[in-house]
Amino acid sequence: MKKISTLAFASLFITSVACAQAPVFTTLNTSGKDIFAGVKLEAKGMEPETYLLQVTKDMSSNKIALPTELSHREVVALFPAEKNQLVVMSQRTVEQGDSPQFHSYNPAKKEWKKLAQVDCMTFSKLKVEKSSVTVSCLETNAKGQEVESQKKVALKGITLTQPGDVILPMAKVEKDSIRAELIGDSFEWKELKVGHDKKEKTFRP
Amino acid sequence: MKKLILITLGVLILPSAQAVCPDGKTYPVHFTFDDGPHLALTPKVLDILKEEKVPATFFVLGKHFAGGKANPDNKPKYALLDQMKREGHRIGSHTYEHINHPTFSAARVKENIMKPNPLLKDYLSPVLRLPYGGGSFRSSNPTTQAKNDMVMRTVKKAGFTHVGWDIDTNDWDAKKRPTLLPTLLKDICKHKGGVVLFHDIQKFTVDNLHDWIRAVKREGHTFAPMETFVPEAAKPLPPEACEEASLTKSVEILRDSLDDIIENLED
Repeated sequence: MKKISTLAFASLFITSVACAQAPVFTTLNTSGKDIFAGVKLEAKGMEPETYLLQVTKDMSSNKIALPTELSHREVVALFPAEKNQLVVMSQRTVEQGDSPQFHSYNPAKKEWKKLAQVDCMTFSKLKVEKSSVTVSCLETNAKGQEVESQKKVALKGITLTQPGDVILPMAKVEKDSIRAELIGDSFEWKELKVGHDKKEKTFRP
Repeated sequence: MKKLILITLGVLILPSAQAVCPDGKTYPVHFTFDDGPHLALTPKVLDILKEEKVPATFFVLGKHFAGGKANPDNKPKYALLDQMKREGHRIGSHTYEHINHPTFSAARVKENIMKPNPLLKDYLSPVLRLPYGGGSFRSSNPTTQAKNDMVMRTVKKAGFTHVGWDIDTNDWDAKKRPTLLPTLLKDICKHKGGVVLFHDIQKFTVDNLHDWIRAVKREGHTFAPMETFVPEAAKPLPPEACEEASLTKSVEILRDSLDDIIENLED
């Protein structure tokens, strides 16, 4: 009986532990070869800092710094492209969203290139085609109605490898023998669980 | 012993029944609305706030009042400001245009901060929120920090106190909308209450505001006026807020920011 009351008291204290600021994952995707995830670190009074985490099939991880112009922008979606390239969709998400930007990253050359920008703050649906992404944009008009419009952006010189409809956020992916999932509360994902064949490993940003 | 266990279990059950924070406490919050007024949506927000007796702050954009009271199109917008004042809300500046200030020149920053003030002088409290929070953050990059300092100095010289937020609801973000309420309730506990950021130009916000207010109240939290968090909000708008922009002042700001940049580079 004494044990039960001790446990009960103990649980009271456990629930009162304050939450600390920690980096969180914001999205992920896989090329079938590697896993890529967006990471955001927020500290009170500071601009959020963002970067990418790459996990390879052999379960090693690698932090990829974003170029200066992207380092405070949240990575909202990632699209694998031909020649092992990656397209990063980013948005400033502090106070209000801005126009999402698309950048390509060439891991072999460690080269970033701005591809496009789309004038749309609010969205959760994307149509991915080989050389373009269409954003289903939600806007409130003067009458106070929310209207949806399709805004297509061409990604010059890039061929995306996984066409299809995407609903954001992307928190779970599987392709060929590789699978990955973000673990935790939505948009506060603190762990990335990666599986390849029978191997499985959990990563923290 | 049986009594002790019952009391202990009662204490355990009580917080979840009242749904207070894990620390057993409830907190004061203040809702703020950026980017308006919106002629179709802001009246609905005001109705909800009135019904629920919730004091709020509206950070309005000066561009909605271009031409001031001389522009007949602005009459219903000024009527909304009158209603806000009458119903006990605060009106703050969200600057003239929704720009990211640190990416602009000192002169443009000053212009964007000063321009709404003559148009809104009868309504504004001396509180201002920078769009995107731009300028109010600390940066590890000295050049960026110098620009941020320039923006914040301009806000201060204009007589405003910058008001950020403790909780950003991301109500504009369709991806995060399904989890807005549980996240808000969790954040109120995490941040021990505070200033909450919404937008009264979002239909989603207006459609759900009533439910959110009731949910916050159900948790036992209270709605406090802005001055609970920012005492300066209760003061009148100082004369410097409506001071004419002069070339001398712009040069002064530019010189200050150049000094900061040089000082940071030397460091």
